[in-house]
Amino acid sequence: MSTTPYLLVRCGEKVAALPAAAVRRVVRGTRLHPLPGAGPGLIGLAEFAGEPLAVLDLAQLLGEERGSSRPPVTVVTWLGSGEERELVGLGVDDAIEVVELDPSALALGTALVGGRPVAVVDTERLGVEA
Amino acid sequence: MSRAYANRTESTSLTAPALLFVAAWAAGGWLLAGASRAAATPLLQVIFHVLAIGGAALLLFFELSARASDPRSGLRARLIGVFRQLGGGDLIGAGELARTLDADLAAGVGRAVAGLATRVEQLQANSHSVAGAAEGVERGSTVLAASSAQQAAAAGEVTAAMEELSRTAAEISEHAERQNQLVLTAEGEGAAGASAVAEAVEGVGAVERRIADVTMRADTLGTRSREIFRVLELISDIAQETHLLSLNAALEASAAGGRGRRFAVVAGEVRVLAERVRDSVASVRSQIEEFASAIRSTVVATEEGGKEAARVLEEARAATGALGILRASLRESSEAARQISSVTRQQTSATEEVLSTLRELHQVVERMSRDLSQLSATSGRLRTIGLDLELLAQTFRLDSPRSLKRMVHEWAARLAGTPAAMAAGAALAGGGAGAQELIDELVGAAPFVECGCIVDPRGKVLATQIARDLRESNAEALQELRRRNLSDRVWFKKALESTRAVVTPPELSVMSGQPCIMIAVARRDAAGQPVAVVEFDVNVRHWTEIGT
Repeated sequence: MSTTPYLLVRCGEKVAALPAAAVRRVVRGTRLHPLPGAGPGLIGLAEFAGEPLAVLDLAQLLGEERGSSRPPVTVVTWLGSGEERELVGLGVDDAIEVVELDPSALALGTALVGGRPVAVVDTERLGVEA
Repeated sequence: MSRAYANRTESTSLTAPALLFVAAWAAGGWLLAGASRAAATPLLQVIFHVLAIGGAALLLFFELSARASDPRSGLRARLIGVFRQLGGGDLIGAGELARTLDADLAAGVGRAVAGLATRVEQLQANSHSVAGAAEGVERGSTVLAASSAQQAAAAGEVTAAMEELSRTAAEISEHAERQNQLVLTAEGEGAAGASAVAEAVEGVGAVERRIADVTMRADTLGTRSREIFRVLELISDIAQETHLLSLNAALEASAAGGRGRRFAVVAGEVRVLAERVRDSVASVRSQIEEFASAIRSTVVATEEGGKEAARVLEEARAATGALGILRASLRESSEAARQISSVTRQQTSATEEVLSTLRELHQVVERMSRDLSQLSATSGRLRTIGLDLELLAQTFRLDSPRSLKRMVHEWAARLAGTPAAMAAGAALAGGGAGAQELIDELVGAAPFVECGCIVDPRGKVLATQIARDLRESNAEALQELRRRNLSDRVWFKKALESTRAVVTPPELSVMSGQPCIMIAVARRDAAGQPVAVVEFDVNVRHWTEIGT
């Protein structure tokens, strides 16, 4: 039985799992620059490794309501796959830990970690849809 | 004739020393009375006059007796007549009869009778003075006795009031003394209170200083807590960073595949450690927050305590000031109470002296009242003596306006000749008057006469009248008197028996209720038979008005 590492993050009341292979870096205190006319899911632009980085609000991507506060932790991750993939930042409330999940145990994008349901984010497809 | 002359000469030579002695006695008595007039009271003058009159009358009596007993003398009958007139007190009759004697004898007897009449007249005048003075003294002493009795009563009331005042003053002094003691006690308690307040002020000051120290220390603790918070923030950031580093390390390890597995374990350990640090920091933060909250509460409470302590301190200082004022007031009150007590004691002492004086005054006034009562009684007796002397003097008929006998003789002489003529009121030749006319004039002219009567020899009332002020209240008595027969009256009987006027002792008048003496004389015809008796009642209360 092979497992895949996932990074668990917390968005409001929800816990989500991001594939560790897509995650480039977890940073905190990133300086964000809001973009005029941006949609509700785009928090703003940040700087990562000398390049501009679009930061999305993962909670809103997961359908969660967020207040006016900005998410303190940014997960730099690849969205999409192949040539289409793109490095973005996902704003979360906290990055919890890296866990190993059995992909076969995933059912409808949800896994149980420690008896608690966790939303498993498909970064490849999320990047395509985005 | 010559024998008779010789006898008369012998008789004259024999009686000359006696007459000289009588004259000397009378002159001596008169001089003695004159000297006493200047030096002594009217009563003493009266006594001197009585002695002089008595001595002169006695010697005259002996002399006239000697003359009358001389069988050789033709003067015997006339001398006996003179003697009888003198014995009856009729000095006017004696003088008239004496003038019928020999010239030398008439002169000597006349001088003696005149001297006697002068003494009696002076006796009357002095008895008037004595009685008048005694009456005045009696009236005055009666008024004074009543006044002094009132004064004694008033002095008694004043004494009682002063005794009450003295008792009140003593009570005031006692109360003031008690108040002084209370004030002293209060002043002592005030001093203790002031000391306690001062200690409280000091204690509150110490508390305030402690509170300031606590506040300062709490501020320090707050500052330290904030520093700890900053350190905790830093630790928390470091833990967070460490956590992220461990996550990134785990991600890198997972990307390294099998080669990164051991690194992933270490990263996991680091992450757990960072988690524990983060949890510890959270716990410490919570505790520090509680601690900081407690410190803030402490600071707030301490500041409130400091304010309260400052307020208490202010109030305590105000209380100290108030206590100071109170103690000053208490000291003044104590001083005032002491002064009141002192002054009241002095007043009590003065009141006691006044009281003592008042008691003495009360005794003196009471004694004076008793003495005045005695003086009043003595004055009454003196007045009675004066009246007795007057009655004694009125036993003589003198050629004096004060002589009642002379007066009654004159009135009787004015009557008409017969009782019928008297009753008819017809004027007869010779100047006679009607009875009623005469008695009306008599009662109207003499204010001391209360009642007058003219009675025939059988006791039938020919005319009568009473004093004007008694007529209204005694109209019936007057009518009754006119109808009555007065033959049983003493004065009537005596007047019929005697050729001279008679005086009876005082009796109470049925009209005025006051003592009266009765003066009566019989009017006789040429043969010596009585034709009427003239009588009048002299009110002894008014007898001092006789002859005025």
